[in-house]
Amino acid sequence: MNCKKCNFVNETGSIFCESCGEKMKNKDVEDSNKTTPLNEKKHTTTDKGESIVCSSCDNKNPSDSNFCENCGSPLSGPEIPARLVSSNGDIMRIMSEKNVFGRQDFVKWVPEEYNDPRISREHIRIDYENNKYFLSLAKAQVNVTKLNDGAIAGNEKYELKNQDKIDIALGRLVMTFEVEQDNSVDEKKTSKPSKEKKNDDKVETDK
Amino acid sequence: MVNGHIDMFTKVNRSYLEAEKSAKVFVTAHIDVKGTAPARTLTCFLIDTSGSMTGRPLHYAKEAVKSGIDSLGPNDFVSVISFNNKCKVVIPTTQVSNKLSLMRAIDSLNSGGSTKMYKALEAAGNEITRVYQPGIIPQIVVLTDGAPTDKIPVSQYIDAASHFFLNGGITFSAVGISNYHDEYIIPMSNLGGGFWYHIVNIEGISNAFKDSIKKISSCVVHRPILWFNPKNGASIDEIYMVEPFSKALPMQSSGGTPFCALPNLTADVGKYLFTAKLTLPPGTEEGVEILDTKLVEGSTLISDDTIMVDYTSDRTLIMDEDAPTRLIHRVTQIQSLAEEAALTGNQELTRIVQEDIKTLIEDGDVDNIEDFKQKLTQADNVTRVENTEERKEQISEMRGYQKNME
Repeated sequence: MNCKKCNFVNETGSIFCESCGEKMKNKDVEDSNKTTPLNEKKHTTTDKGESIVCSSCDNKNPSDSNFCENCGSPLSGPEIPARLVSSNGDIMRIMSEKNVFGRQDFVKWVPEEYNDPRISREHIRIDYENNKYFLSLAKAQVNVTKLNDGAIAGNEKYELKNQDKIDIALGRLVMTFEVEQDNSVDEKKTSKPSKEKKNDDKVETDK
Repeated sequence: MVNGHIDMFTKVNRSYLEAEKSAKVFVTAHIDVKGTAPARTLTCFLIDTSGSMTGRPLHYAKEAVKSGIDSLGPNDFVSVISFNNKCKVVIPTTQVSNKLSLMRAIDSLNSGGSTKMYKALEAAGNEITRVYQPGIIPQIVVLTDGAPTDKIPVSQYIDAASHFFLNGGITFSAVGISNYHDEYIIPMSNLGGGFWYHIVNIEGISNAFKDSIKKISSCVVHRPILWFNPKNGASIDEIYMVEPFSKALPMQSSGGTPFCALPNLTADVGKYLFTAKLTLPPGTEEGVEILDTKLVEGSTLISDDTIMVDYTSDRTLIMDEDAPTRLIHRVTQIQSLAEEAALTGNQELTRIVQEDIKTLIEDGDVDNIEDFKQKLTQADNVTRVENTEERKEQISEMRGYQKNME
């Protein structure tokens, strides 16, 4: 259960936020009482025997896996894998074609900013369209966000290039957008329709 | 010297906490002040006599100082310092025994030149300390219509006011007219433990001067200290004054115990309210003391109170909350940040405050509490001002204590 004010993840059924002291919305508390806790839910799904077959190595993975347990290839998401890398080198992979990142996602990178509303609950959006990634603000009123040191405007979409710098908290949280180019990813991608695009990238890199 | 009667009690928004979980709680300290006899005071007026004060402003400034002197008692002290290119001690600190001769001295004030205010502050410090003795409540009241021209940074001005208050027990209040720079005098009066008066109609200067004297004369506790002694692993995150107006209170610490230097407690204000946010560790027992609050003047304990909480697994008890106690803290925090955002022009902070206001109102938490909603709307207005005049108006409106100054 996320606190509406600070987005702290409280235990299911919490009445007051453990981080900021705000009262959780009654509806949230009631709803959470009805639902199964997240971790149990995961096990339930897995227990049903559903699995995802890796297109690279045919390994059967649990349904909540993002990466193949055998070869490490991404199991879902954009055909050109990409990731956000923090200034400390921590990695967050972009797992789907429509992504919203906010305070909760970045908390591991900047725990001291946990309650800092400069990082919004829904701060940036990264969408994958036509083999390209685009950055935009998740909310019109969101705080100053910079792409390669230039502030990005409310309703605009900006195409992301490899090694672009994204700053979402005035220098406190700077990350690099990277198109993944490790071998396992390359192998997987060659068997997919985006092959041409990927090869183009590779030629450019070789130059 | 406690010149009257003080009642204090503290309150927590939740007295039942979930067992084995840490928690944040909000505490309010309510202080009621009743006076008995007028205090003996020392008021040092600093009057801007720069060129822009020529004409009506100077005329009304003189009238205001005279009416201020007239409202002082025979045991009070007064001094008057004018400042433009230079500062001049027009009336050295003296007991108010012959009001007519003091008022005649005021007539000699002339205007012209720039606004070198810092020298006047230093002179005021000298004039007060020269005659200061225990039992006298000192204050500086400055009147200005523009920005200081002495190229001394605003931070140094604010530090000076804070130093007077914290180290000398000298309250700093400010009266602004015409094009005064609120980014100087609002924080100076905030950290100087005094009041800021925004005067649109210059005839109102007299009322502001008289109000500042009325307040200091009704002082019941001089240099009060509020000790917050968190217990059993509790800690204090932040403290705000709520009444008579919202401002953050800098926390100091002595021997590991946090405390706040409060403004003088006066019978004229009557009701004071403070709020603090606390972090509590996980617990399992009932009747756990989390905070001892002591109000002291010097080494004299004036009032104290203790807050206890019960850790429980009974969910119906945990759900109990005095929501207004939490909202008092949240709304005050927002008001204080809105003022800071407007004065500093910090766009980032402005956005944070606006987002917070939106969240709080959208949450529906304040739906049935019109007073909080109105305060949030005022704070929102403060963050949306387009020029300095509007800013002064909106902050003044948000504070609300000076509606009868004109």
